[in-house]
Order: sequence, then structure tokens, then C-alpha cells
Amino acid sequence: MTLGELPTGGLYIDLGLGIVVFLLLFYEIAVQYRTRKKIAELEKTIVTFQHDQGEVLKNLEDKANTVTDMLFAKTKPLANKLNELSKRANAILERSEAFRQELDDKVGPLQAAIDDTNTKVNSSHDAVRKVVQEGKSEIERMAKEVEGFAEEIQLMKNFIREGKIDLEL
Amino acid sequence: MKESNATILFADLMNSTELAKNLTLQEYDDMLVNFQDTLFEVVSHHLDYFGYKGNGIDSEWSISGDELRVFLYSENIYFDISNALLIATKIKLAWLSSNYNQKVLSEQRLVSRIGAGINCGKVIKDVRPWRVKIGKAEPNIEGYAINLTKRIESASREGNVYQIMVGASLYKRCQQNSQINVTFSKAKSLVFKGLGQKIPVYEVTSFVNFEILSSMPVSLQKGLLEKIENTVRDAMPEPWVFIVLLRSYISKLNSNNDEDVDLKALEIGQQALEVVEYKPVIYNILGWLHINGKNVRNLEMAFHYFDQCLGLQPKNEAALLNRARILEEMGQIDLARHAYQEILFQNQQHPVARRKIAEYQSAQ
Repeated sequence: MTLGELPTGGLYIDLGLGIVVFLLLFYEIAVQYRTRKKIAELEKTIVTFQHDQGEVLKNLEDKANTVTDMLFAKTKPLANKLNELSKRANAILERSEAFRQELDDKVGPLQAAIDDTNTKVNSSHDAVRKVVQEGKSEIERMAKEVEGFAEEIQLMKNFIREGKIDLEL
Repeated sequence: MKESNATILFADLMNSTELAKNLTLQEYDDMLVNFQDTLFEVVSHHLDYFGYKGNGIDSEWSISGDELRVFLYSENIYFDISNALLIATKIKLAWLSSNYNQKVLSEQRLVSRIGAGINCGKVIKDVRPWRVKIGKAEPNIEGYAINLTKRIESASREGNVYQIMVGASLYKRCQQNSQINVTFSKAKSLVFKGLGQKIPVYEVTSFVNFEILSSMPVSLQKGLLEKIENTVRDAMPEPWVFIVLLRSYISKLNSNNDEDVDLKALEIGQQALEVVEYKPVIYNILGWLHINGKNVRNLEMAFHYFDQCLGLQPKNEAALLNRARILEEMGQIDLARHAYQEILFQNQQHPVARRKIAEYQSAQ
């Protein structure tokens, strides 16, 4: 139903409704305006933010580049030194390897000789130990014999002493 | 058939006939078993201890009833004589301390004693054909010396010191050898049945030998000294026991087994002077104790005892030697030299006196 179709008896009501619609429309327009304004402000803020961000990034890049440059400047001589050191270490390693090789060449026969000597010493040691053990047993046997002999001597001494006393009484 | 120079020992119980009369058969047999066991133990151990081979090689012995017969023929007559004297003394000692006699002693009755006769002489050993026939091929030993020794042994009943009688043959050998300290009584001439003439018999009056106790079987050694000590406390102790006991004290003193033994020995020695008729050996023992006893050392007393001995036996070499030593220790050099010369005057071969005189001469 349109306004034309509204009954005339209801003019005031129609008018009231029209005012409400108008007010609603006005309010919508106002809201849309404010929203656009807000969006525009927001866009502006975003642009500003984006701009700031770009600056920050640029600054960061600059700083990073500065740091890189500085680091490069600082580390370059060190790297040279490291390179030099590395070269020296390599040289030392090479020399050590040569020395080790040379040592291996010399130690090989020496080790064999030592092993041989060790075997001989071990066998000699065993032999000596055996001899010592045998000697020890022999000494123990002799000690026992000497002990027995000493007892015999003591008995004989007592016998002689007692026999002598017999003749002096 | 083999002829040997043997030392013969016969020994038996002196009052066995009397005992057989007074004891019941069982009691007499019990006593005889104890007696034979004692003889067996002492003689078998002794011969083994002194290296006799036995089995007729160098010795032979047997026990029959209450009689012991020992024949020693090791080819060293002095060794055999010394062993015969040792066996005789040891069986007397072992029998005195036997269970049977200890019981008799405890009842204060007179103990049954062993009498012994020893002599040297030629014997002949031969295996008789009849022994071979009965399967006992043991040699018989025969000879006049055996008969004589048996007679000598029978005279032991008349002895009053050791009751070990010896014949002239053994007596003479002991006089020739100074290595056996044995002295004898004067000869008693006795006429023996069947021999037709007087035979001199000597009684052992002292026999000093340190091996009497030490060579006893171990089974008999236990408590033996205490038993001997008890015996001398008896109202009528046998004189010879004092000499054995005193000699054993000297051995103890010598081996430092008992420091106070010299006090005990001195006491027993004083007691022995009253009991023992033959005193020189007791004087010498007392003198020795006063020289060597730690608790009783007294050189003046020692000198006194040796002097007493010389009063009875002026030629007693042991007393002369000890007296010379005391004088030397007292610093009486001139008197000591004189004393050693006195020994040499009697025995020119005396080794100690010869050495001492030589020392004095070289010192001058």
C-alpha cells in the first residue's frame, strides 16, 4: 500500500508514519555519514600507520645494514686471522701427520722389539720366579735342616754339659 | 758259634719267695704281672733309646718269672757297662714307683726291692739243634761269666746301698775308666755254692748319671719325680734314691726349669748326709749346689763341702777340681795353681788341670 492509497481518515497517522520513516531515513543517512567519516579516519590512520611502519622497516633495514657493515668491518680482519690460523693449523696437522707417520714407521719395529723383549722378560721372569720359588723351597728345607741341626747341637751341648757335671760330682 | 765279650746283668725280686708264701696265688700273680710289665717297659725302651739293635746282634734279654737277664755285647765294653748300670738303677727306680709299691708305701709297709748283679766276661752264642727242631732258632748264651754273675746277683741281698753287686772284672774296668762316675764298696769275699773259692764282690755305693731319669720311658716319667720325693720322705728311705733325686735336681737347675730347685736340693742333700753311708758324692753335690745355685751360692760353704769330701777321699778328682776352681774364683791364684798341680800329681792327663797350669806358666 502506498501513501496515495492511504485512507484520508488516517491522515495524521499517515503523517506520523511518514515522519517516522523520514526520521529513520535521516538517522540512517546520519549514521552512514558518521560511519564513512570513521572509515575515512581509520583509513587515514591506517595509511599513517602504514607509512610509519614503512619508516620503521626502513630504519630497521638501515640499522641492520649498518650492523652488517659494522660486523663485516669488525670481523673481516678476524676472518683473515682465522684464515691464517686455519692455514697454520692445517700446516701443523700436516706436519703432525707426517710426524705420526714417521713415528709409526719407527715405533713399529720398536714395538715389535719391545713385545719380543717383553715376552723374553716375561719368560725370564717366570724362569727366575720358578728358580726363586725353587730356591725358596730349598732355603726353607735347608732352614728346617739347620733348625733341626741346631736342636741336635743344643741336645749335644746339653748332653756334654750334663755328662761333664756327672764327672764333677 | 760266636764268642763275645759281654756285660751280663741279672736282676730279681729279693723277697719273692717270702712274697709267694704270704700272698695268695692271685695276689702274687698280680704283683708278678706288674713287675714283669715294668721290667719290659724299662729294658725294651732303654735298649732302643741307646741304639742297641737287639735280636742277638749286640744285645739279648729275657724275663722269666721274677728274673731279668740282659746280655750286652756292642764291642764297646765301657758303653755296655754304663748301660748295664743304668738299666739296673732304672728298673729299681721304676719298680719302686710302680703301682704295686706305691700302694705298699702308702700302707707304710716295706717295699719289695730288686737286687742286681753285673759282671763282664766271655760268653759263647750258639743256636742249638734242638731249638731249630722246635722252630725257635734263638741262640743260647753260655759261659762261666753267666754262672758267676748269677752268684754275684744272689749276694745283692747282703748289700745296703744300691744292692747292685758287681764282679772283679767289671770293678777293674771301672777303675781304669774315669768316664763312668761310679764308686764301689770294699770287696767282700764270698764263697759261692759250686765255685769252690772266694770270689770278690763289690757293691755300687754311688752311681751319678744324668740319664737315669731322662731316659725313662715317657709313660713312666709322668709324676716320677714326685714319687721319688715321696719315697725319700719315708721313714726308711733307700740311700741310692737320694743320689738319683739330687742329680735330677741338678739337671733341673742346669736347664733353668725351676729357679728354686736349689733350695729344695740343699734340703734333700742335708737329709741325705744323715741317711747315706757313702758321703763323698753327697758332699760334692752340696758343694756344686753352693757354687751354681742362684739362691744358695756361697763359695766358702762350697769349699767346706769339697774339703769334707777330700777328708774322706783325698784323691777324689771332682772335689780337687772344684776346690781349685773356687780358689781361682776367690782370687787365690797361688793356692789355685797348687790345687791344679795336686790334680796333675794324681792324674797327669787331666785336661783341665793341664790347661790351667799351662795358662799360669804362660802368664808368668
